[in-house]
Amino acid sequence: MRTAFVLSALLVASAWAQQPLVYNRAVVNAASFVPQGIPGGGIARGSIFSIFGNRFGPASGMQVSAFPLATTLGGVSITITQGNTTVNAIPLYASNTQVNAIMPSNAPLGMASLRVVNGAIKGNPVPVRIVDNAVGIFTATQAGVGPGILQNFVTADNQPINAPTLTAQAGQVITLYGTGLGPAPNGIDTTQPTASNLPTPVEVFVGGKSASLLYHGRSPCCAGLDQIVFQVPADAPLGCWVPVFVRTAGATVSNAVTMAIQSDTSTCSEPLNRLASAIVNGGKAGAFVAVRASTHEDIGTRSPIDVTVDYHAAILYDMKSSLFPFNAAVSLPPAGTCTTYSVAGDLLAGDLLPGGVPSARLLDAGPAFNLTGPRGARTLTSVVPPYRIGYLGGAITGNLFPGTLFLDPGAYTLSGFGGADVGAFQASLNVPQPLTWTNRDQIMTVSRSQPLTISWTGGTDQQVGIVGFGEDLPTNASTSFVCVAQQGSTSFTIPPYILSNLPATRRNILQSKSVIYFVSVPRSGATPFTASGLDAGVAMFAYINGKTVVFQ
Amino acid sequence: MIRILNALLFIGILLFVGACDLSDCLPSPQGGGWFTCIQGTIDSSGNIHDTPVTLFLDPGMPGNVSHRSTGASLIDCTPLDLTKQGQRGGQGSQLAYFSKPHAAIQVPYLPSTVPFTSQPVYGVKDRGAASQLQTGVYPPPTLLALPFEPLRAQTQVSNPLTDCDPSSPDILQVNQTNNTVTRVGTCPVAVKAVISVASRPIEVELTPDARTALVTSYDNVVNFIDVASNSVIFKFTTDSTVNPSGIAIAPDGTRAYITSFNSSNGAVLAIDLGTRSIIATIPVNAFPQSLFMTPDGAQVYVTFPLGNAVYVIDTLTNRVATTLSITAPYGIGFSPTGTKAYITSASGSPGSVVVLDTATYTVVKSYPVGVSPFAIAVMYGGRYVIVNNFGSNSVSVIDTVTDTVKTTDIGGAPLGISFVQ
Repeated sequence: MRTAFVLSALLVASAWAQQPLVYNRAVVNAASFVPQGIPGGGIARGSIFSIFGNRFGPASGMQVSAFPLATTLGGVSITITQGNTTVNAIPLYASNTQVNAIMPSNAPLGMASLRVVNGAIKGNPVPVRIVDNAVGIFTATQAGVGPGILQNFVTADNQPINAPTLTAQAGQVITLYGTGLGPAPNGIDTTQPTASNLPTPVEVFVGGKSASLLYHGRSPCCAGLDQIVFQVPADAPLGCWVPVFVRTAGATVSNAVTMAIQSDTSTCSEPLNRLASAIVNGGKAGAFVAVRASTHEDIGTRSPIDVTVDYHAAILYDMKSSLFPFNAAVSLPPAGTCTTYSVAGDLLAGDLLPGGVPSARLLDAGPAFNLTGPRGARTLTSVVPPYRIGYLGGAITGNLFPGTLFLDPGAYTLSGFGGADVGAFQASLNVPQPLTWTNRDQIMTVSRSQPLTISWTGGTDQQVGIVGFGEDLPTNASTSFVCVAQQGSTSFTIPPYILSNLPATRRNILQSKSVIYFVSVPRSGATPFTASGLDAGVAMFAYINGKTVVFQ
Repeated sequence: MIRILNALLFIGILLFVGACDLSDCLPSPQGGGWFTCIQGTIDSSGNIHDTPVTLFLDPGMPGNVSHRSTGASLIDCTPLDLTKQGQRGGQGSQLAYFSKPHAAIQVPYLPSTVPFTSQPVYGVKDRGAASQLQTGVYPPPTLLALPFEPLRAQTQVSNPLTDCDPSSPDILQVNQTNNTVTRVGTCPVAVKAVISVASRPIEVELTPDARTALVTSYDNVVNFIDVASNSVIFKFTTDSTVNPSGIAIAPDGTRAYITSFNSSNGAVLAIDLGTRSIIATIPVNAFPQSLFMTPDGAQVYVTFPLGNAVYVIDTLTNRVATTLSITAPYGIGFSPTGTKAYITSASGSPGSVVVLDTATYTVVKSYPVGVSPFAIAVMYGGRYVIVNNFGSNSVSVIDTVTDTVKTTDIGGAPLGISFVQ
C-alpha cells in the first residue's frame, strides 16, 4: 500500500505549479479564526483577516512598517471581486503561506471572490463572505480561544494583559483588542486611524453580564485593529476563565475569550474546579471518571432510539504553569455562565478543539486500573493508549444485541497499582440515581434567537452542566457551547447570544449534527484520592443525558 | 480510532479527559447496505438473463459483502459502442461511462430475489442524497454519529425480508440503448415507470427538492423530468457542438452543471435552472466526463479519465480554480465535511482510490482496490468507502478508521453503487 501511495503522490501535481494557492475555506478573521460557515464567521469590512495557502510570495514574512499602507506588499496583492466590482485588500503581513490583510471598508457585501496575486500570477478564486461587522477577539493562545488580549487598566503606564495571575476586579476598566467592528468612518483603511467611536452598536458580555462601554472604535495605532474599552460589571462572576463576548448590531456574536476576575488582586481561584489549580499553577494531578452517557435520538429517526453507554476515563499528568493557562477540557466557565467554541471540523467525529489536548506530560501510573462495583470487577483497559479511556458496556433500545451496561447505582472502588510516577492508590465513588431532565422531550426545535431553558428534578446535590453541539457538515463548521449551572439550581436558561453562533440545522438533517447534552456530576459521586507522586487526585461519576434537536 | 477527545466539553464538565468510540466497543448490528448494478438479470425464479439488473447488497459487517440476490454467476453484457463519443475502447471504460452511484435508499433488507425479469437497465446514475426521490422534510431516518454511541446502530426489524420501509425513495436508472429512464420503486422492488427521453441519455441527477430529474442526452439535450408525473416537461437543447454527459446540481437547486464530452469542444456549462438558460461556459480540456459537487456546493470537480486529470471549478465565479493530475479518474466521493475526496483511479492493475486533502489539494493516501474501479460512495459519516471494481467483478470496502481494505468477489461486473443507510 505504501508503494501505491508513493506512486499516486507522484502522479498528483498541480498543473499550475506556480500559481498562488489559497487553501479551501482558509479565509478567516485574523483574531478568531471562526470558519465562514458559522453565523459570526463573515469577514467584516475594515477588519483584519488571514489567508492561508501556498506560493503566496515572500519566503520569509514581510510586515508593513509605516503609513500610508499600500495594496501590495512584497509583490503580494489581494483582489476582492463581486460581479463587475473589484477592490484590493490591504496586506499587512505576507509570507509564502500566509497573508494578513484588511478587508477594504468599501468592499461589496455578500459573497465575493478572493484571489491572491503574486507579482503577475493570479491565484485560484475562493469565496469569501463579506459582512458589515463581525468581531473577532484576539487571544493570548493565538488560536481564537482562551485568554483574550484584554488589558487591565491600572494606570496609564501600567496596563498588563489580564491573566489568572493578573486578575481584574469588578469595576475595573479593561481594553479589549479585536477586529471587525465595521468599516472605517471615512472609508479609508490605509492611513493611521483616529480615535472615535464607530457607529456599529456594540455590547460586551462578561460572564453573562452586560458591561458598560467607554470606547468602541479603531485603535489609534493600527489600521483594522479595534479597541473596546469597558468596565467589568459589578456583578460579574469571579473565576479564572470568565467568558467575554462582543455582540455587534444586536445580532453578530464574536468568539468567546476568557478573562480572570477576582475580588482582590490575588491569583484567581476556581473552588468548584478541582483541577483548575494544576492548570493555573502547574502540578501533578490525576482524575478518574466513570460515565453513563445516554442519547435520545428522535430527530430524523423512524422512531426514538436511546443509546446508552458506560465508559471510563482517567488522566494523570504533570502540568507546567504558564502566564496564560488554558485547556478547553478543564478551563470551564464559572457557575451560572456559558462559553462557546466555533471551529472548523466535526467535533462529534473526532476533530479537536484548539487547546483541547493537555500539553502536559502524562504520568506513568502503572498497569490498567481496576473498578469493582455491584456487577463485579473490571480491568479498565484502554482503547487509545497512552490515554486511559475505555468502554464498560452499552445498550441500544430495540437493538439486535443485549445490553451490557455496567455502572448500576451503588458503591465502587477504584484501584491503581502504581507506576514509575504515581504510586498505588484506592478511591471510592458512589453511583447515585440520576437527575431527571424534565423538559427533554419537549425540546425539539430550538430557536437560536430565543432563550432556552433546561429544567431538571431529582435533588440539588449535583453539579449540572449543559453542553450543546451544532455542526454544519457541508461547510465543516462547528459550534459548541458549555454552560455550568449554579449549585442547587433546578433550571438553567441559555441566553440567545450563546445560541446565535450555532449553525442552523439543515433541511437535510444528514448534513447537520444538532445535539444538547444534560450533564450531572453528583457530589456524592466525587471523592478526592491521594497517591505518591500526585498533588491532587479525584475520582467521580457522571451522567450525560443527550437529545437530538433542530437549531432554527 | 483517534476519537480520543471528541467529548472534550463533556470531559471539561467532568474534569477529565477521554471518550470512547463505540465502533470499537459494541458489536455492529446489521443494517444498511447499498445497491449496485451488475451485468445480468435475475428473474423471480432466480434465473439469469442477459440484461443488467440492479441488486441489493447487504454488507452485514463492513467489508463482508453478502450477495443477497443469487448465488449463481452472472453474465457479462456486451458493452455499448461509444466510439462516436470519443470514448476509448475497452469494456471497462465504456461501461464505466454509465456507471454512477445510485440513489441512497432506506431499505433494511430486500427479498432474496430481485423481481426484475426483462426490464433493460443498462446504466444507473444518481449521486447520494441529492438523488433520492423523496419529498419529505427529512431524508430517510438515520442515526447521528455521536461521541457515545455506535456508528451503526439500527433497530431490529421483525421480519427483515418483508419489512422494508414503504416510504423508501425510488431510484432512477438511465437506459441508453432504448433512450429511456426507468423509475424503480424499492419497497417492494418494482418498475414504476419508463420515461422516454432524448437519444443517448447518459446521466441523471435530481434537484434537491426531488421534484425534477435532469437527464443528459449526448445528442445535445438536457431532459427535465417532472418526478410527480414521470414525464419529460422540458427539453433543453444545446448547441450542436455540446454533447451533454456528466451532470451535477448545486445544493441550493439554482444551477446545474453539465460536461460536454467531446474532443473539440470540451467544456463545463452552468445552467440556470430558473430561467433554463446557460449562464456560463467554462472551457476545459477534451472529454470532461463526470461532475461531482462538493457538499457545500462551493466547488465542482470534473473528471477526465481520458486526460488523466481532475479539474476543480469555483462555482461562485465559474472559473477553474486548480487542476490535478490523477491517472484515469472516474468516480469521486466526498467525506460529509468535504475535507476529503476519494477518487477512483483505474490506472494499473489493481486500480486504486486516491485520497485528496481538499484543503490543500494534495494526495494524502492511496488504497489499492480491484481492477478498473469506477463508482464510489462514502458511507456512514465518512467511515466506509465502497468501490465498484468493474474489471475484477468485486467490491472493495475501505474502512477509513482502521485504514484497511477488504475486497469481495460479487460474481458480476459492478457498475453503479447506492448507499443505503
